[in-house]
Amino acid sequence: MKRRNRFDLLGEECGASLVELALIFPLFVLILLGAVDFARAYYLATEIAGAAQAAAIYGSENPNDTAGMTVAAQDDAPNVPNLSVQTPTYGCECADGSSYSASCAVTPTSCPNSLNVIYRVNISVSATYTPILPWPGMNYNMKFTSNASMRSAGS
Amino acid sequence: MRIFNDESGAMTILSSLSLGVLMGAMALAIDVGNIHTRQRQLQTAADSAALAAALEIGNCGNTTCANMNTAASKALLEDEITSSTVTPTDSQCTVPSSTTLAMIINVGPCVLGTNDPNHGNNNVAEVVLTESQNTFFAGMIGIFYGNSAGISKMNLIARAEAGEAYIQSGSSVGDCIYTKSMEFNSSNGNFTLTNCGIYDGGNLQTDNDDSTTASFFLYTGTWNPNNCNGSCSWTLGDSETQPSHTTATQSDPLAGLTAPTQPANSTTAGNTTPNNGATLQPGYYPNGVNLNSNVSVNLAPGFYWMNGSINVDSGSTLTCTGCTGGTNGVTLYFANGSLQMNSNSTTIQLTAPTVSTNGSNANMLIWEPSTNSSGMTIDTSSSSYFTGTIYMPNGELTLNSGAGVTINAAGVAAVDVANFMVNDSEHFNVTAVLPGTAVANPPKLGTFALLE
Repeated sequence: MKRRNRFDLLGEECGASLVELALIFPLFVLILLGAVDFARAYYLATEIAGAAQAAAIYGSENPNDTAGMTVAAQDDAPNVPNLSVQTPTYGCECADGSSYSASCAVTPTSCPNSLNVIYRVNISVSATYTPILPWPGMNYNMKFTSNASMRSAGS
Repeated sequence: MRIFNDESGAMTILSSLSLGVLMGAMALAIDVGNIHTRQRQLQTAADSAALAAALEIGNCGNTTCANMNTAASKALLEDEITSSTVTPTDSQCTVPSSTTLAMIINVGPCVLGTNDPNHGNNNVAEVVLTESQNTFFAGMIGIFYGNSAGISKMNLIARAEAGEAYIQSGSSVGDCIYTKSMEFNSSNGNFTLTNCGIYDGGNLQTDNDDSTTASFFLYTGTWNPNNCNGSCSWTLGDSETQPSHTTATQSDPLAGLTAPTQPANSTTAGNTTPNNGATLQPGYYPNGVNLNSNVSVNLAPGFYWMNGSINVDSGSTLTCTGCTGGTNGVTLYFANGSLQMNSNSTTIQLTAPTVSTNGSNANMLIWEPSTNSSGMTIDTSSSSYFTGTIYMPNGELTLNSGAGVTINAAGVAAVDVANFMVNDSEHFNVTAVLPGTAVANPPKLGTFALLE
C-alpha cells in the first residue's frame, strides 16, 4: 500500500467546493438579510401610511374628536409595536388654505372668491424601525413618519 | 479535455450565478417596496383632494370650477404629497401618463365608465392622481429582457371619489332635522317629514302619543321614552318601528357655509317699531325690530343682517310678498338675537332665496352664526310657513304653537339646530327635495365623505 505523502493533501481537491461554499455563504446570508431588512422597512412605511390615512378618514367625519383619530390610527396598525401617534390637530380655514385657525378658535368670516369655510385635520404617525443587522453608515434606529391631512365639512 | 473534469472554481461560477439571482431579488424588493409605499401615499392624497373637491360641489353648482381646483390643489399641499402647486385638469375621463404629479377632477365620475355606481352623478367628485415613479433597478433588469429602456418608470394611478353621504346607509335621503338634542315635552307631537329623516346627535326624549312620519329617526345618546313605553305611534318610512340608536356620528352638514358679509345700514334700520303696513328694506339693523301687537309688516326681498331680535307680538304678521323665487327671497341673519314669536296669533310667511346673494345664503331663511346662542321660539298660527332652512348651530329651536307649523311650503327645507324642543301638541311638516330633482341646488343635509 502506497503511503500518502502528507503534502499530497494540499493537492487534494475533494471538499474544495464545500470550503468555497463556506466562504461565500456568509455573503449570501448578508445579501438575504439586506433584502429582508429593506422589505420589512417598506412594510413598516406602508403600514404607518395606512394608519395615518385611517385616522385622517375618521377625522374627516369627526374633526374635533382627536382622541378618536388616535385610536383609529392605532387600530389600523396593531402589529406595529412602537407606533407613535402625535396628538392630531384640527382647525378651520377658507378652502384655499387662507385664514387658518387652529382648533377653529376663530371661524373665518369671509373668504376670497366665495370659497367655503372648511375644517381640516392633520395626522402624524411615526414608528421606529430597527434593522436586523447594524448596517454600517445607516442609522440603527430609523424613524419613519407619515403625515396625512383631510378636510371635513365641520364638527 | 481535462478541463471538463477539473472541479476547481466550480463554486465560484455557481456563486456568481446565485449572487446575481440574489441581487436581483433584493433589487426587486427595493423597487416593489418603494412603489407600494408611494402608491399608498398617492392614495391618501387622492382621498384628501377628492374630499376637498366634494366640499366645493355646492359652491360650484354641481360641476367643476376654479374654486374646486383651488381647494383640491391646496389639499395636496396640505397633505405634503408635493411642495409645488399642481393645477388640475377638469373633466377628463381617460388618464394620460404624466412624468410629474398630475391631477384630474371630474364632477360626475367617469374614469371607470359605467361600471362605476356613481358614474355621472354630479353630487360626487372624482379625483385621479397620476405620477411616473422612477425605479432604481428594474430598468437594469429590463436590459436582460432585451428592452433597452427597461422598466425604468412605473406609472402610478390613485383614484378617489367623495360626495355627500347620508347618515342612513343605503338611503338616498338626508336629514331634514339635524340636532344635538331633541325633546318632546308634550303629548301629541305630530311630525310629518317627507323624503327625509331626523338625526339627533345626542339624547332623545319623547312623550305619550307623539308620532313621527319620517324616512328614519336616529339618535346617538340615550332615549327616554317618557310615559311612552310601547304606546307611542311611530310611523317611519322604512322598516324601523321606532327611533333607533346609532353609533354613527354625523358632523354638522351646514358647517361649511360661507359666512355672509355685513351689509350697509338699511334705509329703514332706524324704524325699529314699524307701523302697520310698513315695508322694511334689506341691510344692517343695529338694534333689531319690534312688531307691536296687530301690525302687518312686509319684508322686501334681500339679505337682513340683524344685530338684535325681531320680536313679533300677538296678532302681528311678518310676510314677504315679493319673495317669488331666485334671488327674490329673504335671509334673516342674526349676529345677535333671533326671531321671536310671542303668541300663537302671529303669522309668519317667509321664503328664502334659492340663489346666493351674500355668502352661501341660498335656501337660508333663518341663520345664526355659531357665536350666537340665542334660541328661537316658534309660536304662531297654522297659516305660517317657513320656506327655507333654519340654521342655529348653537341655538335652541322651541316649538310652542299648538296649531302647527309648516316648514317648507315650496319644497326646500331643513332644520339644523343645537337643541330642538317641542313644547306643545305640535303639528310640524318638513318636506325635503331629493337631490337632483325639482329645485336647483337644494340644501342636502348629508355629510361629505369618501365614497370610493
